[in-house]
Amino acid sequence: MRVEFDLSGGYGGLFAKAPLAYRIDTKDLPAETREKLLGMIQGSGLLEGRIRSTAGNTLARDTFSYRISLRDADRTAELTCDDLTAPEAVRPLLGFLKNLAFAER
Amino acid sequence: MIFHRCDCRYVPDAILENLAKRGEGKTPVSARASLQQANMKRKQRESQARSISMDALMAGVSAPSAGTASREVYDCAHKWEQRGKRVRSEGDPTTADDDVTNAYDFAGIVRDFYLREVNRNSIDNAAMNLILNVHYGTDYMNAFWDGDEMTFGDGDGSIFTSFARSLDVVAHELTHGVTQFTASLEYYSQSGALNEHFSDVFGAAITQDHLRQDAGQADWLVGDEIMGPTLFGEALRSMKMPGTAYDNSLMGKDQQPAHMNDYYTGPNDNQGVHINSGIPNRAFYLVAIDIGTPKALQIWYHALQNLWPKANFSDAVEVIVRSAQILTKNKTVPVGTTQLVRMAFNEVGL
Repeated sequence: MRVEFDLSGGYGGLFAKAPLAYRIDTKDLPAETREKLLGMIQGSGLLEGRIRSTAGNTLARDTFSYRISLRDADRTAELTCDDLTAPEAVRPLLGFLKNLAFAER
Repeated sequence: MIFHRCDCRYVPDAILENLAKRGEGKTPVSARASLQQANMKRKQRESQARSISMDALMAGVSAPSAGTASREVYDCAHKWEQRGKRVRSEGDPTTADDDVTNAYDFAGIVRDFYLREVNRNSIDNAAMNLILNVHYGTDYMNAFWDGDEMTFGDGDGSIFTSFARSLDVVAHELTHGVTQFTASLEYYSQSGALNEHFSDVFGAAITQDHLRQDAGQADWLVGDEIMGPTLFGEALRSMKMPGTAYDNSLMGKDQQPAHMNDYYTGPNDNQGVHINSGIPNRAFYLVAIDIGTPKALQIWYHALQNLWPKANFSDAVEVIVRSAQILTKNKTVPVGTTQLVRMAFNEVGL
């Protein structure tokens, strides 16, 4: 599965010019990491169409914005959200992908 | 149920904004007040969007009642939910949680500074209560304002420590609320960079006041108190010299420009609101070094009350210079300040 993750915004402006980005094909991950990631993706409900992007709070300042894109042979899913609109089921996946992105820096 | 967002107001924002900009209407404040009211109502509608019907929406929502400028600190217990458990209210004794203590104390310092220095009664100048959420989420390395409350993460322990431990972070986020109820600067491109700029200005001024520092003694750094253990000495932004706050393998290099020659024109970060704020930040530093931070702040606060949602950098320079003239006339700032302000903005290319 092809996974793309972007994190931008935030008080610190660290990801202002360039989002914190992570791009991976899960087949290229170590087995343990791959299993954990795929488990979180399944738990998120993204590929089942249970989750949809929602408009953000226009008065929010300094929140993080997130984008996840998932693509395999016969399914695709994309979600954009921020700290206030991220669905509960997606939070673990967001945190895991953020850590993977940092580990690559 | 299909929900359609309705942006319904009797007087469209565009007309209110022009009235505010031109200082027309009964008073310049009335047009801005109308915009602020509309924004507040929009926020209330957004927050209730999942649970109320379209009929209820069309019936309208009432304006928030005036508070008592009281502090309320909530512990989110590492969940992604605000207002989890209220752990300290105004006047309550100190708890064992340092983040609760810091958030409570710093919010009080910011609130009291606004009242004492610019005669502003809390965020909305109507004694709005100060709602603070600590321990938000897990490894959450951020803090934000969302229209009616502030929220702070604990950091990840590596790059950042707890965001509630920094007075300038609390002041920065609370000032987003002040901007919301004054100029209501829209959060993209130059108006958004100005929005960020005013939050950094008040963050710096309040920190200097609390530490009893003058402009020459201050470090003019933003976020230095929350850097993680391996990043001691680094910071998130430098108002004195944008672009020098950090340079390391973990964070990368500070991307803020100090001059319009390096203005960021890309799409990221809402067209650079945290990037291009460096340019007016340096201008404020230059004015503060000349006339002192307290006097510079009086000019900037006066200007904030006379700006409008789509104001750009050129508009801000014009308004800030005008504010300097007015405050020179009433002897708040010394003669010659208007020229110093122009020079400061010239130095950053504005």
